[in-house]
Amino acid sequence: MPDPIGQLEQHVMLAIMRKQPAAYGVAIQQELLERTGRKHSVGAIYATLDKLQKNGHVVPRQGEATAERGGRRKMYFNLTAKGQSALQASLNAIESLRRGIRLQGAMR
Amino acid sequence: MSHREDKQNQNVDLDYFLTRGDRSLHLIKFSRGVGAIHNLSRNTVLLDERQHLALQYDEQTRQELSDLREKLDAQRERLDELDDTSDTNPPGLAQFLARLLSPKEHGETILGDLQEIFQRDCKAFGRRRARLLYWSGTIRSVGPLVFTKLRNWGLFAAVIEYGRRKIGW
Repeated sequence: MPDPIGQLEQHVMLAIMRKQPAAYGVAIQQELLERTGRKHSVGAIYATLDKLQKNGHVVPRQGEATAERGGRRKMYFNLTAKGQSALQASLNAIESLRRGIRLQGAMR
Repeated sequence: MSHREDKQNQNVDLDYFLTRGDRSLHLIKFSRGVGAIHNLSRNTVLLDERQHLALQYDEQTRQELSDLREKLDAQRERLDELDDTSDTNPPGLAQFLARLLSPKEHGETILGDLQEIFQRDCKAFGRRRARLLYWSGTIRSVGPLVFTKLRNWGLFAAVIEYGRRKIGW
């Protein structure tokens, strides 16, 4: 049974998958804003990434340094096989719970 | 056909009335009950010229004012550009705070991301607002980063994690 993951972790993992192969902090933040309408702070995103990394769900990769970042390198993130498995299990659980439920306004 | 247009003066001795005819303006002066009519057609022309000049002046002034405003706006934009390029660094204290609270392995990356957002905001909103947004982003990051620090300290991890799950955060 994979480790349970929270909603923000789930969102971050999905954003990483969408932004491959250039999923770094700012890109993930922007993707979450566009897709969910919520602007998470950089700190919240890195706190989540830190936890995912410690759980072995994501793996970081050093990127290039740019002038607009003050010469600091980007850090790209990829989902590991364990991360993808945990994400799939989490999405399956939600899908299983959701199946057969008709929400008001869902047909609009 | 004429009508009373304006009452210029009124006292015990004199009453003045301006009346406008079809083509002229008349001043009717009453003095002790005796009226005298003064044709002001020439003055009317003069007034029209003055009004015309006044209108021209207004138009000219308006145009000059508009030109000056355009020049001023151009200079302001130029100043903003200079302002933006003269200091493109985020607030130092906010950077220090972010660096202090960030996880060791992600510290420089977080600062780089914050600076990238700052540069983008500078272009979009100007340096002053970008600095405010940088501070706002840093302050909003404090909670999650402190929580991560505590979680990484190990001893606190179980307690914090237990508490987090209890309050559903």
